Amino acid sequence: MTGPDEATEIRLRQMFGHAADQMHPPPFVPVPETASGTPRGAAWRLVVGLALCVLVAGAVAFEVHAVGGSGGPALGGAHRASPPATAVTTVSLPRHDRFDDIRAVDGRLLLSGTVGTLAHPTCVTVPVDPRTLALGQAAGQSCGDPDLAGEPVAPVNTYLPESNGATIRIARWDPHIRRASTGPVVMTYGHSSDANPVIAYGGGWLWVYDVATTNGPEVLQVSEATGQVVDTITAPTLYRPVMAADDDGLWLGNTVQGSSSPEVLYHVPPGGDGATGVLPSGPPGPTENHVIWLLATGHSVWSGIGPTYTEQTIWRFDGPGATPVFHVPDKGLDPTVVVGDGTTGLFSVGPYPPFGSDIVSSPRVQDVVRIDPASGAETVLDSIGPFPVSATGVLGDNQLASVHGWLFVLEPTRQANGYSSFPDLVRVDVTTGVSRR
Amino acid sequence: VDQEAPVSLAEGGGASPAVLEELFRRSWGDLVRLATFLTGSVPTAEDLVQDTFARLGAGPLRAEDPAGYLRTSVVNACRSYHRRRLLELRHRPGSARPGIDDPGELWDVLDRLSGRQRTALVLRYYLDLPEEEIAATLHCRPSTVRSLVQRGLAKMREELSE
Repeated sequence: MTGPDEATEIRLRQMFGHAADQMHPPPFVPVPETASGTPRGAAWRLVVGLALCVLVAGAVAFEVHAVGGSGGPALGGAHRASPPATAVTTVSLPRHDRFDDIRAVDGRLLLSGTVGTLAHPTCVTVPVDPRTLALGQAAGQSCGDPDLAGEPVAPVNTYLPESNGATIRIARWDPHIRRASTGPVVMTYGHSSDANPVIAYGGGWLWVYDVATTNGPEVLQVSEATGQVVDTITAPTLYRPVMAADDDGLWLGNTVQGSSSPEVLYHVPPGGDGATGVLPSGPPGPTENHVIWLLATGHSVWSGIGPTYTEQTIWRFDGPGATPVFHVPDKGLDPTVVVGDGTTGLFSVGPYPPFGSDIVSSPRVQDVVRIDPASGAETVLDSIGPFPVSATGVLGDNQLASVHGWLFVLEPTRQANGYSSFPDLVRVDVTTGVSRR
Repeated sequence: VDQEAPVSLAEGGGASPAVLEELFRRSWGDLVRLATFLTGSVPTAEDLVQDTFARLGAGPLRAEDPAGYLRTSVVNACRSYHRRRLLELRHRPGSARPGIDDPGELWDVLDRLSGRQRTALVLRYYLDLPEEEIAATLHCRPSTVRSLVQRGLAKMREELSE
């Protein structure tokens, strides 16, 4: 006779065994050290590190496999009636390479990732011609070396043995040795398993923030020209903040992944001696505001701010005094990552139905949304995909870039050995888009 | 964790980085499966296990039982993940479930357990760990483990009978 607990135990063991049999993790590749940070304040990217010193030469082959607008099937196989509104071009990236980041740096479009085998990877940054989508000369290096990824300076993160701490040094391109050279330790921080440093570029500065440095929450202002730390600023306590920088300095936002904070947005001017609150968070609890996304260029800052992704208000602040220009409610498109500028516009890509809806099926089409930088008005320009919805449900800021009137999207997410990469690069001509809804 | 030949320790009771890497190489699949049961997501599990290795791989591991230490590190990484995830979900209604492609009733039931109940059941009935080892992993008494397992089983029975 089997008792109720015993029967449940037997069934549980069977269920675990059956589920485990269905899991086939890819082979293990050691990752001894992180030597690079992600751009634009995202979580730090772990770089697969083995000692390689290979310069990958020659253009990387690619294949254009679709030209024209999209507007693929939506949920349940239903098709959208509207014709394509924008010119959409998709290229397949080289099949054996693993590109995981796209960004615009000084008007250039740069793809980053790893090439070679998983066991012996080389980290590369490849320029992309935004007009022809041809991939240029790949600059490759050991994944254990500092990865500048197109920027003049970059932080280098090194975990300390037998502790939960790490140090940061600044790497800078050295034209004499034609590779990055790394300076002394400029920051030491703890809690590396929980909250990592966040970085932002803008106004000629690299800004580095960590909540748990040996001096408490702290911001470093680093010159992009010299790689020197020019200012160290005591900052508010923000776990996993979002940051953006422009000519007026650094903007720090408290996110839903953080804890309560009196202000939802802070400003640190270049050479300043502290952070100034820009907008109060409101009372702690379900109505407390958080920064959902943050973008700064020139002398303007745009941000989606609200208690949740689905209840955000789009704000614009101008100048070093952060003068509010407008704040309008999001009309249900729930942008979570936004790129662009005050001239061409602000752009977001997200699954339709939006992330905050109850529908969680995958794959889903991705709506391309334009936010008017002057008014905050949102317009759906087109849709691309469908693509499988990632584990987080939203695109990462490593998947979007905007340059010269085009929006570039890396999709769909491909998982290998615990890392995400993207086999396709999608270009949307956002200057031709018109409202579809 | 793989139970083949034991990993030899360096002098002083620590595992060298090379030994640690070998240990990870052997136990990678098992640790990912363990983390998958604790998080419900294969990609998240792979990331957490890789993160654990990245953190531990920077220096010699001072532990008498490196395999147990790794397992505890992965369990702790999953608990940290759940803390962050809970906070996120509290502010993000209706978010996509980070699940396996074909979630069956096991995942539904595991999702209804508390974090500690879930961990205790996974360690007990997936890894077949004795109560003492589960207690060491969860930093609690064996009696607490018994309680967690019993309550978890009771909750599972309810869910499975529905």
